[in-house]
Amino acid sequence: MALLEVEGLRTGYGALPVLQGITFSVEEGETAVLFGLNGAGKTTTVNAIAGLLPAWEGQVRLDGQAISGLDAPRVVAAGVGLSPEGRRVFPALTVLTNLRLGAWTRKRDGKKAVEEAVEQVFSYFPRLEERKDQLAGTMSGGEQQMLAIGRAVMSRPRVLLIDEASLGLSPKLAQTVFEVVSKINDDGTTVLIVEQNVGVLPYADQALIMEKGTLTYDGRGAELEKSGDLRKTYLGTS
Amino acid sequence: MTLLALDPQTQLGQPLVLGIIEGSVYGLIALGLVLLYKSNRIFNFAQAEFGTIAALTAYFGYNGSLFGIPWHMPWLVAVFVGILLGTLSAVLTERLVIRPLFHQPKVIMVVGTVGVLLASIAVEYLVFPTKDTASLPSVTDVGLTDPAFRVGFAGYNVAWEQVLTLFVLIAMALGAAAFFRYSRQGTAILAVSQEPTAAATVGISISRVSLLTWTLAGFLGSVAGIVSIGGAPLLVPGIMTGTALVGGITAAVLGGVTSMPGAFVGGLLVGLVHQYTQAFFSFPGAQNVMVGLVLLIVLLSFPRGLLGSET
Amino acid sequence: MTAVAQAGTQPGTETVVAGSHWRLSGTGIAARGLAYLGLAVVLFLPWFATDFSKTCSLAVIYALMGLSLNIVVGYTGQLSLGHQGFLGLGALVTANVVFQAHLPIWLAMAFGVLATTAVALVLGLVALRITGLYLSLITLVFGSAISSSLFALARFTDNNSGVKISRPSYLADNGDWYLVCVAVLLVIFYLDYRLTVSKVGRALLALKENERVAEAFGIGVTAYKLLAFALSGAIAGLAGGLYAFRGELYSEKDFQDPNGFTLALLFVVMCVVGGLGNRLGVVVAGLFFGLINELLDDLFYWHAVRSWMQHVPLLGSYYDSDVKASYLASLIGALLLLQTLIFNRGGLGAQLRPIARWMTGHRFELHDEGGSGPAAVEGSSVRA
Ligand SMILES: Nc1ncnc2c1ncn2[C@@H]1O[C@H](COP(=O)(O)OP(=O)(O)OP(=O)(O)O)[C@@H](O)[C@H]1O
Ligand SMILES: [Mg+2]
Repeated sequence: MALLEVEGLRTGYGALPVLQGITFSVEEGETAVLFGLNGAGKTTTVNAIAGLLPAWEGQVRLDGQAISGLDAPRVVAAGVGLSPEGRRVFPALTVLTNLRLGAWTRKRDGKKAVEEAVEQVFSYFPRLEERKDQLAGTMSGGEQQMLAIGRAVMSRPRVLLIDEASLGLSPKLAQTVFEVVSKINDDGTTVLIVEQNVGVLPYADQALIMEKGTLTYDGRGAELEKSGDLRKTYLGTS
Repeated sequence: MTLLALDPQTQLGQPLVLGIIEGSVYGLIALGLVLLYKSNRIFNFAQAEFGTIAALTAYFGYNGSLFGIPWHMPWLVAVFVGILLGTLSAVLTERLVIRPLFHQPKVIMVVGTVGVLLASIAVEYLVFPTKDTASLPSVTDVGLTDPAFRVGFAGYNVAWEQVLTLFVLIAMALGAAAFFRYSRQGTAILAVSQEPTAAATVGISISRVSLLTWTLAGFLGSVAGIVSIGGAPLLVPGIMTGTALVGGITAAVLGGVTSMPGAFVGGLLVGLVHQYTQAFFSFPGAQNVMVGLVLLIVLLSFPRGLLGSET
Repeated sequence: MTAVAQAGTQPGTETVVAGSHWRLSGTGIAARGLAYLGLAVVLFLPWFATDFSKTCSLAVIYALMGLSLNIVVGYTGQLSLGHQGFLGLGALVTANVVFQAHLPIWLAMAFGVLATTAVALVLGLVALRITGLYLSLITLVFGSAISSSLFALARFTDNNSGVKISRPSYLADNGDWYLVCVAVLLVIFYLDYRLTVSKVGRALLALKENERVAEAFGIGVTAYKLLAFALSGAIAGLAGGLYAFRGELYSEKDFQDPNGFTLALLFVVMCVVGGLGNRLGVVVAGLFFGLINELLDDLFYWHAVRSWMQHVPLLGSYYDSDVKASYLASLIGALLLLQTLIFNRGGLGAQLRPIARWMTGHRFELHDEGGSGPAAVEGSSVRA
């Protein structure tokens, strides 16, 4: 059984439907990439999984347990972490406080566990340790992106959702971020990452493509890389 | 000419002392306003009225009958019940008015608090029909502190209940500062105020944080009502809004609307402006005009307030 | 004629007949004529009752204040909590010009309008730099500061005894003054309509939506904002003049806190309950709130409730029979306000819209176009 299962998910904003019923699953320990043009509904998908948006129809299951219908705090507690679109860090709080807030739902694990998690994030992103007492809002875009991912890792999620990891990053920095994500994945976290940048493909076990609220491709990452047609059609590269 | 006629005691010392005491009340109101501004980005125009509700309830609990029941609670109990009811009214405000307007433009939410203010005053009149002038005794009046006690300061003697107001303000301001700096819930309030979406993604319940914020603000407003009305001769519905709302909001704005220390300093500043204006000018409404001018000048020159930091 | 619903392009104009895709039938015109006649009769009725017409004058003045505040709140989207200051200033200037300079009534009212327009312009200048919450605070402070200082100067209050003035003999009756108030309201209502369909109105709307975008399209923010404040001030000044002559007295107490603050809030309540930006709704709400105190006080059962309360075992011994209906009125106002905000953002105006459209020669359609509700449903016309 796959760790994350999305089945017939339909949702939207107000009365406006965006997702037309999408179905996919991500295997435990793998990295899946969700591609799609602007407005395809990628953010809507991950937000719905994270409980920020109620599902109209269909189900989301984590390890067989339905998590659709739970609100965001409960979804986090159940083991899904989201690094939201637009790197929403808490601008007037320090890097350290931002990270600690990431462990909000782990109150019962105690202080020590939280500090260990902070150390782990610092090992992924040494840059954050250098700047741990800086206000998050004063950091560069790339650093904020690292912080947002680090904060999502703090809750020890079983599934980590990352929306637009590389947006606005230099190709080199984007590569670094992908490498860290792959390291996080190696450490046992299943990853679903929304991307526009095909540079992420080498790290992806699974690739998904969305178009106008429906899923149009679901296959192995390596296959997508090989089939030049798909790349041309959906990603605009050749 | 006027300088020659200056009487240092009544024109310099007394306004200083009275200003600090009066300003303490504004500071307390401002603390609550800043708290709500941080979380909702609005001014709560009903903030001072939570204090009236608390004071009126305490008065009826202590002094006698409401709904025909002679309560005659001990003073401390009455005050506690008052603060409880004042806080409860803030909680109700959050649940019934703020929550449904969460995703509306801020102007709408502000008008919502205006509605709460109007409703509160009306309910106070209808529920607490006072036949004669009411007043809530102060700590000294009920013999909890020594009535003969006087603090000599700047050539002016201050009674216990007046000092108490300042102490309460200091305690509340320190408490609030510590709460935001060290407590988990305090940090959550800051997080929600800065990035609600991100706060939800780390698992903070926005709805619970909002309720908590309003509870605290209601508590602060209620305490302000008790300390400023206790011992004052006149207790009528709407009294706190009439005496402290404008001063409180001005204090919050002078302090930069998001700053707790700013609210504290802003409150004292408004109190001092009031008292010194009274000592030096005698035309009608001089205090209001002066506070208005100060506010206008500050807003025009420092649009972010004097101490506009997010702490 | 049977109204033939033609599917076609809907002209964007509000013109009644020309260019419209359907025509009024003879009966349609007659029915509307009757409706207008009925309305005129209802508006005229208070003229017969001297005392009641005085109350009605107040209601009309409130309606004018609603229109005045609506320009600032509804059209420019800024909350003002100090409009009682303009009403009072209009009353003060009008009364004192008559009392001290012995100028004729209409000239005095013109001075009142001039004064409030000037002060409103100053506030408008402030509004150029300070907006949103801060502006609402400034207006709050403005209202309480001007009413506690300027309004109370012995110079303007006939040494604190209140300035007594009297209307000219041909308007001595309260009923006559009521008709003057109604006439002014109708004129202002029409001018306000002209304003909203003019270039200025569209510019204001654009400004409210997004100041920066509007500026990018070449709409001069400065001029239009000032204009909005000036117009609002002018209407309030006019209302103030009517107010002073209604009671033939200027007394600063009417506008000072706590009365003044309550008034300021009441004006906001009127605008919201009427429907922000909705002229007709705001006027109806203004009339309603102007009348409600009086009506409640006179209402049979309010007396009955009060005397009944005296006999309730526990409550009765405490219940104060002097509890005024006005508190009940402000409770009703507050609840209506909250109800409007939370459940029905279009306000009264949205409810009245089908009727208003029918009256201006359109078909009676229950759908709510341009309101704040869901998008209009096509073809839900009820009858012609
Ligand atoms: N809050 C909202 N209210 C209304 N519609 C929305 C909202 N958010 C997104 N949409 C609409 O839903 C559709 C999908 O948006 P979504 O943000 O999921 O796209 P996306 O695939 O993440 O695009 P991008 O690559 O640009 O981030 C778009 O048409 C968008 O306009
Ligand atoms: Mg997106």
